[in-house]
Amino acid sequence: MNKAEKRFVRSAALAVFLLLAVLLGVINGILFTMAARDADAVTEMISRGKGTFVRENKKKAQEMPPDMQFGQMGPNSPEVRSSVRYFTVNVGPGEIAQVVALNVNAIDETTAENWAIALYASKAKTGWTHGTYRYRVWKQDGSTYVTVIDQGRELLTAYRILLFSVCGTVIGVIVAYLVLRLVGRRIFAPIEEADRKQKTFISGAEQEFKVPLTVISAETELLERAHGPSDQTASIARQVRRMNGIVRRLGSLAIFDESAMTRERFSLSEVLEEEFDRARPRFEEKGIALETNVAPGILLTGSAETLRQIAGELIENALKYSRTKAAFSLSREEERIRLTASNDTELPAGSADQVFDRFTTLSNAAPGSAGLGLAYVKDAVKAHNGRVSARSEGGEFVVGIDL
Amino acid sequence: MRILAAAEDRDLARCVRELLSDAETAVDTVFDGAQVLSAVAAERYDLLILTQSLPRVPWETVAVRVRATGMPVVLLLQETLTARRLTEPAFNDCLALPFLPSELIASVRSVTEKSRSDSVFAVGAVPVAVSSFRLGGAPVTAAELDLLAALAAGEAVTDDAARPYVQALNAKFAAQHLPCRIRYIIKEGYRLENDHE
Repeated sequence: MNKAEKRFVRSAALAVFLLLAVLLGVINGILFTMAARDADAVTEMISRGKGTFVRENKKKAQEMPPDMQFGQMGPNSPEVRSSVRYFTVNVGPGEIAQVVALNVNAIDETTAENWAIALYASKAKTGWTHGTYRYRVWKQDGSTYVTVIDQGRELLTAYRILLFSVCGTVIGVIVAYLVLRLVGRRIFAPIEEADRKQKTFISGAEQEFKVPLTVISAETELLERAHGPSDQTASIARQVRRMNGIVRRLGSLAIFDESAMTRERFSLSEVLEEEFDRARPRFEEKGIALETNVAPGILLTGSAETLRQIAGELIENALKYSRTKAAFSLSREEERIRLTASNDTELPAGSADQVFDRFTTLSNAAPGSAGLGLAYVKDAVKAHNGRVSARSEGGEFVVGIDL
Repeated sequence: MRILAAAEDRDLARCVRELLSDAETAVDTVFDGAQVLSAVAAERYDLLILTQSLPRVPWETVAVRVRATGMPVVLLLQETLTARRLTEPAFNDCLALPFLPSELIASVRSVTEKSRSDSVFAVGAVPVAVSSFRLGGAPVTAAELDLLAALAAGEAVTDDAARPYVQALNAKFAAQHLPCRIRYIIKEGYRLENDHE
């Protein structure tokens, strides 16, 4: 998998994960909220029955409130009254606990009283206690009562759904990842193929141009030797020199070969200081004020040679386009290393993003410019897991590199 | 002086011959690796100029065998010149294609003059005989010899083109544990320094 394919698969798998997590998270949230609400409806019903469900006449179906009729489900089911396990404790006005009803198997009277006192002391009106028990603290006739119901069976269903949701999400993401890898290969194969063909074409063209250019310039020289120099031979020589420059740049810049890069820990500050200092006379010659601000002692793991080339391209760019001044700076900002190159070039409006595109030259490009330098910088920075950015504002063009 | 020029492209081979031929220099042309080896075995030449694309016998094999006879070799380099290419050179000088006629003439002059030179200078404690094209146990190119001679004379070198040679020479110092290194001094240029200084 190449980097773009990896990024695609990772972000698509992350999107699937987020979708499943949000969807199932909301469903489970609603389920647990509803479980609490249903339990509260039951404890409220018990509080209305003064702490208990009483069945007075076993020969006659019990009289139910209008919302609790035959066939209803959940807390409105008439059978709730016989299926709910609960206890109610009167904690009285003076905290002397007295069990009002104890319809639960796992808890004895003393435990029920202790729970009730603790829940009363917690000052909350309703809530969950001891995992699966829902309680309500209520008042009647000057006394305070605590009703606790066991919701274990109801919560078991909700917990099962939660477990299935988590497993479903994990399985879903794994399946999505595997499918995306297969699909990703299909999506990216044509793109990779096009990129490979472009590189093959460039390197083929570069190789194919070298011998003819050499022969043309040699033949021109031989013509001049035989017949003396003329405007025509001088023009051929000039154009050949220009082509030579482009072909040499094609060779070194069109294809950034990450596999040929040797990585080492080196002082980026020293490398850049040297590159900027070596270029200083060329700036002076062109009357461009050069300002450099390189923070000392900044180390980087990567290819020193590639960073030299990056600096070289930024320098070439500044030499070509600066009108009166150019500036370079290197600084460390927290975990990131920032290299900035700025000069007083006016870029055509809205074209700052295009400067990194290979073979793209803007309307203000210098003659002989092939649109390779900053494209190389972008590829080389990417190989160091960095980012490039460019902006043009107020008559200033700034390239920023974060490493 | 007799020069053998080898290139698969016949126009290129002819151009090299015509550019270099004069009253004192004769140039023969051949078009593949096998022809180079048989020509060198049959005749005595002062210099071999060859391109990287040679049919039948690869240029590296040809160059190594020819250099072993003591005959200098100038390579017309089709790939981009890198410090890595310079670490174990099978050539005495290389000239990246496309080159200008003046660059070819200068390269040939530089290599032939050095191969006949009796000048010796010292890098650290290591004597360098120019005609041997060697720094201790490592082969060096004509451009590297020029750079070394300038640095050994205490000069600071500011030439931008020196960079790959600086890197290659530092690699050769390190490989042989020679206690010197070429460093860049801000506002001066490249200088040869002894490591223990």
